[in-house]
Amino acid sequence: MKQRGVFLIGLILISVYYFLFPRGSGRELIITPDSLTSLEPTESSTGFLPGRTLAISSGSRAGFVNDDHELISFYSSDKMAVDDHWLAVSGVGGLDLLEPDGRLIARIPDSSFPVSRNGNLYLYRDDAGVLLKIDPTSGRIMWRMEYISPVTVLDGRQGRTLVGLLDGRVQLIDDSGKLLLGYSPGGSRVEAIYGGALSSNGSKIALISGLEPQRFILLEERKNGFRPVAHHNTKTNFRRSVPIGFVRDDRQILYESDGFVTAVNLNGYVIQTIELSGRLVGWLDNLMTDTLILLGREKDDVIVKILSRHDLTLFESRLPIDTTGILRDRNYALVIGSDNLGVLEFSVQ
Amino acid sequence: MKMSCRICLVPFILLQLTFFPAAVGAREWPDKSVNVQEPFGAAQSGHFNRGLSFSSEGQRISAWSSGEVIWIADTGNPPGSVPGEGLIVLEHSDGFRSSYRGIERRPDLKYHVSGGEWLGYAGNDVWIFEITDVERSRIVDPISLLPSRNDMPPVSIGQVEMMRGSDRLDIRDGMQLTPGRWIIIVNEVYSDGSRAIPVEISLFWVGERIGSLRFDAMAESDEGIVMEIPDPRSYDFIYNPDGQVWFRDVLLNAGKGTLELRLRDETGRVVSGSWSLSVR
Repeated sequence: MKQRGVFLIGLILISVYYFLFPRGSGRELIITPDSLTSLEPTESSTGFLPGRTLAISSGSRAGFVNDDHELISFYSSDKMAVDDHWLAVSGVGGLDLLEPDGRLIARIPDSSFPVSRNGNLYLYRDDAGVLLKIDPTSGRIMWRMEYISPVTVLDGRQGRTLVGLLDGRVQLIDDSGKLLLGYSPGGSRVEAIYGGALSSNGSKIALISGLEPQRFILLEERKNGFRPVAHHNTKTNFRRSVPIGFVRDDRQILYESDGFVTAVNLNGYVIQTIELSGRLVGWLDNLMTDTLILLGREKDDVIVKILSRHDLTLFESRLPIDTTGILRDRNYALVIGSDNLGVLEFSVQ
Repeated sequence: MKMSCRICLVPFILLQLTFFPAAVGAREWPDKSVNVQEPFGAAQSGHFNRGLSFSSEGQRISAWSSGEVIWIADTGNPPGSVPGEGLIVLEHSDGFRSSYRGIERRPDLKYHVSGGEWLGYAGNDVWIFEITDVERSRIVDPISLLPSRNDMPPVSIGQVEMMRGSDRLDIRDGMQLTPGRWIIIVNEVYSDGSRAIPVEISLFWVGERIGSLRFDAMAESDEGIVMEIPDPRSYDFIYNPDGQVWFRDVLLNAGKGTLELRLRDETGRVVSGSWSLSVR
């Protein structure tokens, strides 16, 4: 009887230890500094060799690096947009659409702001409310919209463009210029759209709308069109653009909150908060073992935070104050500063 | 007794109106009224000017009326924001929103502002003041909602031209024209800001109105932004490729008559020019 009791207590203790205490998996995430490149404007292609190029941009400067993260070309302009396959620079004579090696694709007689979104090129003239979608391979105007209200949200994926307006309207437009969705969330004292993003397959739309209350809204495409499938009050009242985006293969949505980041897990619609100092200025996902990297900016600090697949903090550190963004390239994270490009290699050992 | 109380209220209300205009929804010029450079509806590189453009670099810009800040776009925009720095938008309780585009926000701007309270400084280019009627989804001419500028000199009529095919003639008294459809081009409708702003341009032939352009409000349509005159008219309908106001398809039948151009300005004054024409 006594032996049986000891055996049972031992079994319970082993079970408790096995299920509750963390164990080393034998695999650790290793972050290694790889390179540091100075970002000096070249205004022309230098040392360009055929191969893969990666677009980088920092404030009013943009350019390309090669596979080894060496700078190929770097341009400076107040009106510029860049993608891995093209660069759009607005000048006195209009907009020059360039290949990464500097060759001219097209010249568009328009002095609007070029905007890059996931391979899509847009031109936006804010004082006239004119939004154009441009085919970046030819410079052809795909469609043109004019709005009486300022455009506050612009995203494009899978041949679809999401437009949010300060008057509270949301539009989804296909590449032929056809309106797929016209939607006004409503439900707030002040109607306006402050943030918005399309999922990678273009079938979900996440929005931050209104003031008092400011609300998160998720729309999903069904057989008979887009329908709101979830919403909640964000307990914020931002009066500016709110960063929001789909991460982790569209399984999670991140958006900025007051002093932290809210993560909405679409599996079960679980809402959780992730501590982050300052304003959310960027993120990277699926870099290695389903990690999520957040970039926050406080008054005098830029903070990087790496989270595990369960959103537990793996690493948190300060970055140089001039850090403007972060990019993913294979298993590398590219930390972009105003003068330098730092490359970190991620590996699992 | 009740009557005396009402009498007591009158000076109280007058006192409020005099010393606390913001409290009763007073509307003020956001910049010095003489700083207007371009009026609402003017041609701006192929687009309508959507508000009043001011030139007053470094000057303080103030709220048109009491309201709530609902949008700020400045250099602190998060990465990935839609371009458009230097924009502040206020929502007012009477269904209007006012926009201040091209200004540097004051650092300590509060979310609730009174009419006349300063919002920031004018940038180094022109800054634009717009008013949107939210209920009716229209951008309206701010001049109709601002204190009138009765001291401004009246509008002046610039050069008027008659055009058909490649022929382009300056209009003059006693001019002989062939019958048919003509294009009439009105130059320099908007002066350099030193005169009152024209809000309606009308054309009369032998006493009959044959064309009229009124710059009250603009709205969205399938063809883009249109001026409501009150029928919607596109930019290309009102302006030629050089940005001059034109009346197309003006039919002049054979005979003698007077062509008259009338400009009504912001104060309601009408200035006209007329020419005796012989059409045969």
